[in-house]
Amino acid sequence: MYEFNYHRPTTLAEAKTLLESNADAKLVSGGMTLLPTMKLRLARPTDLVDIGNIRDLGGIRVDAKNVEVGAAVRHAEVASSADVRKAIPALSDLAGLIGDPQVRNRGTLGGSIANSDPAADYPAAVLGLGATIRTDRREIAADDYFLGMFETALEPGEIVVAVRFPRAKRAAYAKFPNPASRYAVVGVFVAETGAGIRVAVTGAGACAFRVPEMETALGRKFAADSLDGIEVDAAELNGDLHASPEYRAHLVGVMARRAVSAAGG
Amino acid sequence: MEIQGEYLIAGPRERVWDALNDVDILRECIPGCESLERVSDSELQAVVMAAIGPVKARFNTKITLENLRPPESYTMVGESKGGAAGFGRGTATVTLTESVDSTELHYSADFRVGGKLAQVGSRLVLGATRKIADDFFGSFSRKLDAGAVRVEVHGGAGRQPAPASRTWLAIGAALLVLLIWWFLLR
Repeated sequence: MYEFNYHRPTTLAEAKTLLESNADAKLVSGGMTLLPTMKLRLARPTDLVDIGNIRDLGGIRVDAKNVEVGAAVRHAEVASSADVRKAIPALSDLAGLIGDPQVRNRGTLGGSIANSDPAADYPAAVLGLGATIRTDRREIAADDYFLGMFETALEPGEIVVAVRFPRAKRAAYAKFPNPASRYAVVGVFVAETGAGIRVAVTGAGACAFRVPEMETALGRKFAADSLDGIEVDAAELNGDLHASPEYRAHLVGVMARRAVSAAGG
Repeated sequence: MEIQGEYLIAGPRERVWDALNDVDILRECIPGCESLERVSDSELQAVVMAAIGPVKARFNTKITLENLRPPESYTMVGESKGGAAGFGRGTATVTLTESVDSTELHYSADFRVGGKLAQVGSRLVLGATRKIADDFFGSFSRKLDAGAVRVEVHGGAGRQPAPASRTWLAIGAALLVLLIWWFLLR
């Protein structure tokens, strides 16, 4: 490694000051993307502001309507929380499918959605449940949050504090993982909440996106065969040596059907 | 994998061609470009700050302009070495077609990475190429014509018939002329 200053603030205000006073400072939470990037010298921040010790960013709070997960909560905590399991089982299932045990014990919800990797799992749940992202300065609806590849509505220096997931009547996540990295080649989150039915896809495009045709079809009848004949356009989808855009388009249909079946449709 | 795009820019083709060869305009349109200098007629040297997701690194990039066919087309070849991380090589073939009072800019771009960069980033290459190419050609087009629009392209196939049918038309016309001559001279 090369030299950088490491800060471990205990309050959000302190973290903001550190971030503002160093032009090349970077927030680090679990570091599951940032640290490998730094090791490759593809990023050389002068200062790392570790937000893992800030009390306001931790904790899982469940009430009658929502499950609120702090930004610094690790995937393993969400996966093993009895409260989350009871309120939104699909959310704990998804957290348990992220990466490998090492990643799940380091990586955090806030880090995942602030980075917005096109193949990350959490964005599917955030968008699929129609969650609300709470930051240090405002609340952002999931529909307005994911803008593109590694691109979110977050402003420079804005810090994710927590994500509020509405409880779902039924929901499930199905993913086709890359066999080595466990990244979602395609992952689909299907949910029925008080606000209606939502289908969110990750891994296939530049960022998580919804499929309105599927949502309408499931609104008529919540069953896997309602999705027959609905095709996703491959033109803007991702392609790599593991899966072509056309194959990913096909997988969106397959994963969506599996998710609907798993949700009891 | 190739990425394609098309923009409709108001104004004559020569103007767009000149801009494609204008170092100052290119510098302003290449995302993250910190400096761009002409080394020779067909070679440029750039320093580009790539900031995409977790990556924020400075790359020295050599840009070569190949297959120069003024004012119609050229191929821009960019090569970057990222030290221990590996290397990247991108090409973009730009074709300009004249229409009534505007110019159609068509590009087809490809990008490859090697070394460790490929190990961690190959799944992101297509998306990143799409984004960078669109950022570049989008701001380039809007610089020349604030109202420039991106035209939908449906693969490369859609563009082929036009020149092909024109060729057949030319052959047909030539045959017709030959036939008439043959009848007249008989």
